Amino acid sequence: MRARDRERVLSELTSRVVEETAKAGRVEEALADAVYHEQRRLKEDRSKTRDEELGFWRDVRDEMRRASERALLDQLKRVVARYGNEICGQFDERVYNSVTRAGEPMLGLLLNAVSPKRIMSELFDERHLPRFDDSVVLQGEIPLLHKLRERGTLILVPTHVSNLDSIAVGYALWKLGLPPFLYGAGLNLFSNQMLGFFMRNLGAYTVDRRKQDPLYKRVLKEYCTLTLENGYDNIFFPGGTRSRAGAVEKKLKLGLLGCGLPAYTHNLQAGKRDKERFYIIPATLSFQLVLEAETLIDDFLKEQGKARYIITDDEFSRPKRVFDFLTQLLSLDSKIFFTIGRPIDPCGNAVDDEGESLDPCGRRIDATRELWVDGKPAVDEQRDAELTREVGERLTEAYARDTVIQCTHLTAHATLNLLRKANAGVDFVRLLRGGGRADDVPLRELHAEVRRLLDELRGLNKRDGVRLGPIALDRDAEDVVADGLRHFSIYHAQPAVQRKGDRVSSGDRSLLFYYSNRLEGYRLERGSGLRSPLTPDHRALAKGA
Amino acid sequence: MTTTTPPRVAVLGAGKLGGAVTALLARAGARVSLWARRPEAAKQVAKEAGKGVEVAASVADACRGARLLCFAVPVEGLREVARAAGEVTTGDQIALHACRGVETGFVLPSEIIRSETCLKKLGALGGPLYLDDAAHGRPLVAAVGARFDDVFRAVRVLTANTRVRAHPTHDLIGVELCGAISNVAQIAAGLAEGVGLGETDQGTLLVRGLAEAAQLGAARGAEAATFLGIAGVGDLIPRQVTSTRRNRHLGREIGQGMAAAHAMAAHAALEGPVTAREARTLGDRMGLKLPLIQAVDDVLWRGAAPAEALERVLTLDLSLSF
Repeated sequence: MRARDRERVLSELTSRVVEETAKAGRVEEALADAVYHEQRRLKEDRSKTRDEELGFWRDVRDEMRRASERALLDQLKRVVARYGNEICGQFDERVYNSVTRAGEPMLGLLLNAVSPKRIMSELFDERHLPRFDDSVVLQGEIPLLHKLRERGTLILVPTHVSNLDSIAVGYALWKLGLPPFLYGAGLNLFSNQMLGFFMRNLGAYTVDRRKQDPLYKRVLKEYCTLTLENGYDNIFFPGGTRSRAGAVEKKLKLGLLGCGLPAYTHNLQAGKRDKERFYIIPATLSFQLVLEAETLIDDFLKEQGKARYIITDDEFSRPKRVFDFLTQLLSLDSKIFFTIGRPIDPCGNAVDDEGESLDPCGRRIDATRELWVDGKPAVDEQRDAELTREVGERLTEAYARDTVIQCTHLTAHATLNLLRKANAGVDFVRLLRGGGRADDVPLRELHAEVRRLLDELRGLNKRDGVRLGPIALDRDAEDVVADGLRHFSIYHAQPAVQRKGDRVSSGDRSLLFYYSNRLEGYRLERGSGLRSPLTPDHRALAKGA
Repeated sequence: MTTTTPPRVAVLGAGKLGGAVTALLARAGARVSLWARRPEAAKQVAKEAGKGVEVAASVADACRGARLLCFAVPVEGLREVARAAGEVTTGDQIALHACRGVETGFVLPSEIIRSETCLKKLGALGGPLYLDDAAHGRPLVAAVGARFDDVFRAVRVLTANTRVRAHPTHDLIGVELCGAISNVAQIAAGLAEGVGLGETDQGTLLVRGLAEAAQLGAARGAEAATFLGIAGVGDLIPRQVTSTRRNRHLGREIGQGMAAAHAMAAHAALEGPVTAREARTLGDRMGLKLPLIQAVDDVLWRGAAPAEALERVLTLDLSLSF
């Protein structure tokens, strides 16, 4: 956020949250909750700021004991302002300009900023930096994106599979000639000072997912609402966290996405005419390989399905791994697809090429009337939650439609299907753990299964139901499998699929499952007798049921 | 003293339901724009309802500027009417329907309205909705399924001066499924009556129908509690066992030996037969066990003998789960 807006937004943020809490008669309760949750969190905290934070909360607690109503309100203001400051961070346009002016090499540098030492060694040798220019394919509704940016505020909502996503999205936006978008990045991404510095100045604000205090979440939401009202384009990852199973997101966390409607309504109430509209832009990122695939699927399959929401010790935290991953991936002429989907308005309606809202029959409508209460725009939490749920449904449809299926996904899905058939009757979890009669399947059968999948997917592609990578789009099954095997062989310790003579097997069936899941939800197994292991409730699988 | 203008309501359809709703709203002081495919039917209803009711020349005329739209047409005509309404509807309008059926492809009535208009604040009327009660001045009990609270508020405002008891639930799909599958269960009970089975068997089939509605509901995201509430059991208890409704009558005629095709042709507007066929198709696709729906579909559309089809259902393990 620009410095000139920062103080005003933070002040408005504090007064809104405090006023709302006071109106609900919850000042003391909100403070007590905050003290409880924060002290509890800090018990486990090992950060440098722990003592200062504990001191702050002790102080708030002590003040509460002897405070009058007026003083309680002051304490609440203090807490809200603290949360607001922590979230908002700093943005220096000069740093942003210098980073983006330098363009691709600097963004390459950013990727390596996880390691200051590496920066020093790479700084003087640009050849070592990953080159994105040929590897990131920007496609989809790009002209419309530019047009709508002139007319309103954009909320970009990408799929989320890897911590590299935020950097890839940043790169894509820069490449598209767009200014920075604000986005909430997990605190773990800021833990490295160098990376944190760049991220903050590329538009990131801090989201501390360890904080369970409802007041913190309220402040975060209001901050997002205010940034939108002030015309800042935002990025939300509605998946909430990286897709653990590798599947295209179907269940979205709509919390921050829900900021769009109150922000829009506030602008309508204020009679704002300049860029008062909001457009939600679905975007999908599709990689052949995923940096953190092993950790993510392992987390998904952890006993009792208690997946960790925050992973701080994965591949992303190991600089060499990140560097090797990117250089190896890009050396294979592998493509990362960034697809801009068809925009929708904050009520979930499609919009036309002029940014006007449409009904399901394609007729232009005045979407603001959906926000009317007694003839004028008004915020209504229940209505807004329901409209946001509809937005979520439109997004999941867009994600399925715009995901680019690549050779690794096809090769893994076909191999897993064949292994399941060859081990009919074997419990799926046992199969994933290496059990079952058959360890490998004939390459010839793999080609046939990939051919079947390609037929289905190409049909779906013609009906705009999915996108396919270049090889999957028009090459034969043999080429698809060869490319899939080539990718699997370069990065993971144990390849998801590997060839031995005229047979193929899996070196890591969990990983095989992970990449296979990208094809879940397209109903490719109709009539095969295989039921999706991810439905109806994948938790059953995670529990080992 | 200030007076507030009563809200205007568009009632689309002047059949039994449309007529009853028009009369009820007119008595409550609402302004009603009534449209019917046959203008003379609309005029007759308007005349009987009295003050506050005007006959609209078109669906668009009826809907333009109305606070609430009430779709009182059978499901087979719903799409056409909704499409015409969609030319003038706005996002702040509320829509209600009382259809008890589905379109080919198991498309629910709210989905039809949603796909043809910009309306999102949709409600389904379900439960007993016993129009004779209203005609005799007794409380009219109904379930109102809607995702938006705006719908409940609008219904409350409109029925404030009436004896309507509307029970709100956010489970829109559940209310629609209760209504649709109850017609299939009615056909089954009619078949049972027609072949000479007793009231116990008829009651068993009706309860089985409810359980199968709940299964379909679970697959479509409805809540089990809805089927045990006013839209489900609340509809079953007051009138279904001794019902003389038309779906029941259809089943009875076929049970007594009339050819299914002939009987269905004579009751062409009934929603139960199509619902049975589509529910069976959906159940097969989703791998659901729906023996009652399957039996009714077999009898109506696949030439099965009623007695044998019902016998198969009644002798299965009918452990019910909601």
